[in-house]
Amino acid sequence: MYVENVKSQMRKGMLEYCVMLLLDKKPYYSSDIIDELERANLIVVEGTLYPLLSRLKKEALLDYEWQESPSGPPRKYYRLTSEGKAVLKALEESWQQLVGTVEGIKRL
Amino acid sequence: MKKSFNVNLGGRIFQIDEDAYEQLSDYLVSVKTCFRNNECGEEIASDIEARLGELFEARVSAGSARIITLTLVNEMIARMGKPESMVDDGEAAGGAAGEKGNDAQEAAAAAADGYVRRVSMGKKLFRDGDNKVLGGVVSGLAAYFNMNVTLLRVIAVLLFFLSTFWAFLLYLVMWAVVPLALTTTDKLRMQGVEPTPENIAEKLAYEEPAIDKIVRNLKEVDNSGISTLLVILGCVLFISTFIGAAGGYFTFSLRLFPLVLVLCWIGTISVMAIPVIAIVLVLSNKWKGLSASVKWLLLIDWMLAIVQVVVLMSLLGASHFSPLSFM
Repeated sequence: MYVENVKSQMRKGMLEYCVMLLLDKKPYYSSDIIDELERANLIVVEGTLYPLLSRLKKEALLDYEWQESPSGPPRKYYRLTSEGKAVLKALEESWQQLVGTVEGIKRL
Repeated sequence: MKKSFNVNLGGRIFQIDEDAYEQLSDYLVSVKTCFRNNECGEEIASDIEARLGELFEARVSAGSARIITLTLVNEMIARMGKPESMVDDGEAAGGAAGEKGNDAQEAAAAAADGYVRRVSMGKKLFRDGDNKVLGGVVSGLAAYFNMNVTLLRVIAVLLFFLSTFWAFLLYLVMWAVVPLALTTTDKLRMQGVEPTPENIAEKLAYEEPAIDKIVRNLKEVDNSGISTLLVILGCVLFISTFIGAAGGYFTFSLRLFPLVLVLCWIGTISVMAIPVIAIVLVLSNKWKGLSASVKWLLLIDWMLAIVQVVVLMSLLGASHFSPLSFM
């Protein structure tokens, strides 16, 4: 129980960063983001993604455009804005720092 | 047989069973309620709806009728997660200053606290039909006083024996008077949880949707349970009359057998209690809900009880022993 709790905290912290990493590569449809995150074991229930996307959009870090889909209704494709890319860069640095810190402590 | 409707879920048309529809619409309402403080709440809710549509699309086979069942809805709801757990706590920590931030913080805190926060006022005594042995009186009381059901049941059984018939009568009166928790709202209020849309949806989604059970309970006054009980009582009375008669015939002393005393009590209690129960049932408007067989069984049991008491008392000798003296 405790372990699960800590794990889920860690995942939560990383989720945002990982979503931005994904969107940096190419525009993504939300369901494809979910597939990627599920494959990486980063998300437990799908519902968490939508508020996160909405918040990033509010912060103007990402944007979406509607695209026709071969089957079913049109889909929103999300991608990073230039502001988002800048924030991602900053996050990148702090992630490297975190990794460095953890590795450093392990080596002590 | 189930009614079914056509629904448009995020731009896709499905056929959906009535129970599944109610479940799904409760869920979507609770999602909306949960994000009501978020300015993009509508958009989030419609994204989630679209995703659900997509998930259902993948699951209903293209060839046959595109019917969404309750099982499927529950599966997908479990996959999407509770609305509370979706509320983004980054919202509270980051950006959004002022009142909006506070609202979000509060919502997130409430979500984290879970039930504790939402337990408040308005706890009401119900009989718990989902968790019953006889009438659900004790489990209802346990929910009301926040006690362990098993412990309370043990106490109840002890009381049954120690108080002779008082506890038994009290139980019957409560069975008749205390309402059964039928709807989800009732069940939530039984536990002291406020019946808000999100709590109702959560209860429906995560504590096994009991729609079939609700339907069964609506037809209640639980005739089959009562008849079983009455048949057992009738058998006990009938057999004990024979034991008594045999005892009289072989002239062994019945008073040496404590069991016989217990049987005497049962007979005497039945003689007095059955008319009382009948009156209480009539007064609480439940008499009409009883099936004809239950009414006949009540009458038969009452007559058997009278016969038993007369036989046993005459054999034991009313001057030496009266079961009434033990009360």
